[in-house]
Amino acid sequence: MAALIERLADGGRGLWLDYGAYASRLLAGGHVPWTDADAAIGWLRKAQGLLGSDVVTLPVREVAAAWLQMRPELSGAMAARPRAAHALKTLLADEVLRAQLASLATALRSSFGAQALVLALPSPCHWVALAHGQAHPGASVEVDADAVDDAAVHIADFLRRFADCGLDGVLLEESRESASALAESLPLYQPLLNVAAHYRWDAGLLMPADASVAGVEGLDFLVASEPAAGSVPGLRIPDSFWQGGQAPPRPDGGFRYAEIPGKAHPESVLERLASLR
Amino acid sequence: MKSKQSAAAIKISQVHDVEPAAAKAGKLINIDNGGTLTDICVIDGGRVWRTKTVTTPHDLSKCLLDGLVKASRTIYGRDDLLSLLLSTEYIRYSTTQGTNALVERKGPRLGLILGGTLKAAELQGTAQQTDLLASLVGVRIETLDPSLAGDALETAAVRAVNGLSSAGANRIVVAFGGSARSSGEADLKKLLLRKFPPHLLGAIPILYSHEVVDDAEDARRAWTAMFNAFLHPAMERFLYNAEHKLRQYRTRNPLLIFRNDGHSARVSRTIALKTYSSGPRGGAEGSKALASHYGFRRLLSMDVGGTTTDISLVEDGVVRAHRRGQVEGVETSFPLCDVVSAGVGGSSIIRAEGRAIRVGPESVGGAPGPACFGLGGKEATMTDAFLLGGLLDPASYFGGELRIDVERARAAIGEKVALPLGLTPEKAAQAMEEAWVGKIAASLRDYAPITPDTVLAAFGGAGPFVVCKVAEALGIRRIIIPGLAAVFSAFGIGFSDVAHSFEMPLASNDAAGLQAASELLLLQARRAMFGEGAELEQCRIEQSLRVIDPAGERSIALGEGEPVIPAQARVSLVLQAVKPISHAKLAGEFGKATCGAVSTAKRRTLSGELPLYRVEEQPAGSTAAGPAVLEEAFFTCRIEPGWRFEINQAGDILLSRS
Repeated sequence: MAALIERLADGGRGLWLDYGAYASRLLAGGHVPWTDADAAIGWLRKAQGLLGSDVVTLPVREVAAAWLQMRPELSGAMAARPRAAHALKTLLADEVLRAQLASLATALRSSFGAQALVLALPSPCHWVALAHGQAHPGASVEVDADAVDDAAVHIADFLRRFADCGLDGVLLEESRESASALAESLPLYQPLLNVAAHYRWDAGLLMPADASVAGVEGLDFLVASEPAAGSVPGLRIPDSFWQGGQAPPRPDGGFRYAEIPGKAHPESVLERLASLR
Repeated sequence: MKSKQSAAAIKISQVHDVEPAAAKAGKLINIDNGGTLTDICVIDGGRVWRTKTVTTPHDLSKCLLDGLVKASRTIYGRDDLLSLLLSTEYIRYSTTQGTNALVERKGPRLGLILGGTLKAAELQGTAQQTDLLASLVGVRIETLDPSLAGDALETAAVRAVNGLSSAGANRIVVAFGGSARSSGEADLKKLLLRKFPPHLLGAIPILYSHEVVDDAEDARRAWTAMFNAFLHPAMERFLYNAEHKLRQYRTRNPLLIFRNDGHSARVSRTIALKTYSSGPRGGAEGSKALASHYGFRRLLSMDVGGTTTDISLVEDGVVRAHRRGQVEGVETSFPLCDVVSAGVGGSSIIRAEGRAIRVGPESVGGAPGPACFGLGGKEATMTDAFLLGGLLDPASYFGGELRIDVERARAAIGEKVALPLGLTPEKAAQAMEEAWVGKIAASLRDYAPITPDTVLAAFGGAGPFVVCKVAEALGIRRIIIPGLAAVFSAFGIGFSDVAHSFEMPLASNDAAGLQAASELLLLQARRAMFGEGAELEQCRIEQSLRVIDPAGERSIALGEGEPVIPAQARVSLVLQAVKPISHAKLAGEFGKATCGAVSTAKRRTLSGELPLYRVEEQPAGSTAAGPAVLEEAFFTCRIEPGWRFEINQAGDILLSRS
């Protein structure tokens, strides 16, 4: 099975679509049933059939959020200790969540033989803050190097659960805050990048729109508004595209990434997508 | 307490009263494993439960077990697979794995050894054959010189097998042509077993075509063997996997596999190729059971889905079949039921073409679907026309779960049909209906002549909509909409018995030859049925002669008295042993309506404001006359003036024209 980059480079449009928000609204009334594996796969199949991304993404953050809603005792356990990385560690160690995600990944792999399958998760720096915020709503947290380091180790361990799921890649999502701290935190991501390399998954970052990519290196691919040397470029298509604006051409040896706005008009979405072929 | 069911499982638990059983032998479970969804039907005397689960192509035994667990949840209110299986007598299983594997060309690399008079060119008479041979076999073909014998033959045969093996073959098919076909293949088998003992790790499985089927048309028999070899490993892996998982629950009887000939058997006694296209056969068996129960001599079935309308026929208790069924356009030795797929359905794209209206064959598919789905589709479909015409009510469509938007339907119909033809959208919707009905009627008429006693059966999501109009176009006066239309295939496989068929050419075309063949086949049947856990005495034996002569091929049933065996023909004895096993029984009668159906609402359609009858609200044995709209969770039906409907105690609906 070819890793992500090979599959994307291999003909086709090289188009990676994030349709989570749009398809959630259009096909699931705003609530994707992540806790019901069959229903969730059904939703994804419909969305993929309608929109046709070259990459099928399993959004770990959304799945985890849905499970947290159903299991207040897990949130409670996450809040048990004040240490910054504790909430994330507890979340990632939860066997029910791991099992659900692994089974979703396996089902997706068998449902979509032709597309690349990617596990999308918040980056260590981003996820520490996110998980802490879920455990302690309203409280702020200091994300220092130790916290990022711990987080990276926990995430690396978590990723091993997906060894046999047939993944092609791992996408680490940065928030605006975590993207700005990337110069310091990126080297700390090494443990999980090692796991990805071991399983031959392409690993890359998803940068927020227009964030600077200066100094970002050592990754298989980078999704950002501009290319960076050393990584396969995944060029972000700007939001203005969906209102009729231009899309940048596909970069050499790379691909394009587009997020469909949640409230977009269905007829125009299909028209805009057709223009990218 | 109702257990939570996923969106993929049916929201409304359908419980039908079939017939109260006198003695509870055990539950019957029917599993119809389709491409996207797997349907499970559990029958316990008078009750029927159904559930759906998503098919897991990477491991079909997973959705089998998952589906059974879900079924147990529906029945017991909690997951209890053990209780379900302990109380089950038979599990019948029908799968599309074979069909999919061939369509996707996913299987072993075959090698072919030809002998006798059979040459590779004879296997490539048509474009489909050439294409398939290239995909399944490629260059891995070895032809043995028919003049070789003894040591020379041995050397050539060994070289052939080694050659195919180095070319990458992981399964070999042997096919000889000419009158010495069986003995030639049998001799080669002995030779190869000596030279390549099967217990060695490097041994490649070899399939001899005369062991798969007895058919003197060598190319056809070779193709049959090749298809079987191609399907064999995947079917074997999956079915043994499934059986193994079930055995842990100490099921009473082994898993039964439903075949495309309408019968079932254990995994170990099933030929892979006979599972190909078993799905449509399940539906046909359901139709056959319906026809027999209600005394319909001729039942024409139309299953109208999104893209196609599948048409089949049951006449005089027999499912119409091709004696030599086609697999991927290539004729094989085995029969397959004759189902025609016409390119017209609820999602067919309908457009103005000049002054006329064109219906399909392209369809909008599941996504984006009809314009009214609001997923971005802009084409006009019949679903849009039914919505604009008022036949569909957004509040009740799919129980209100699928949102449909009449303005989008109007816009699509306006742009694609009304404007080009200079009509209002409403008039365009009516014209679309006429064109759609016309295409379906024409497809039905092409398939079979319509006789005065032909009854039409309507299934599929889009079947019942304007079925009265389809019937009127054909001069048909009675229509049946079965209560279990939505699960018809799964229900249908439940009528199958365990059966095995054997065939052997007569050594001489006389009574002595017939007697000898009969004795040999009875012995084979006894062994086979013993493998099924039955004594031959418990089985029904049916014998017939297959006669092939210059006039063609025909069958002579063997009953009382001396049969006339043609002297100048190729005659084979066909013997079928059938062990009847428990199956669902149909109940319900028509013509015994006791009360008027109750209408509690109206539906505003282009034909006026019509009384709406909801099937769930009607008592058994109720009837009413059209014009009206009859609706339930899975279908909507417009009853035309001059027609009347009757809902019987089994939930089956008969529409009749006065």
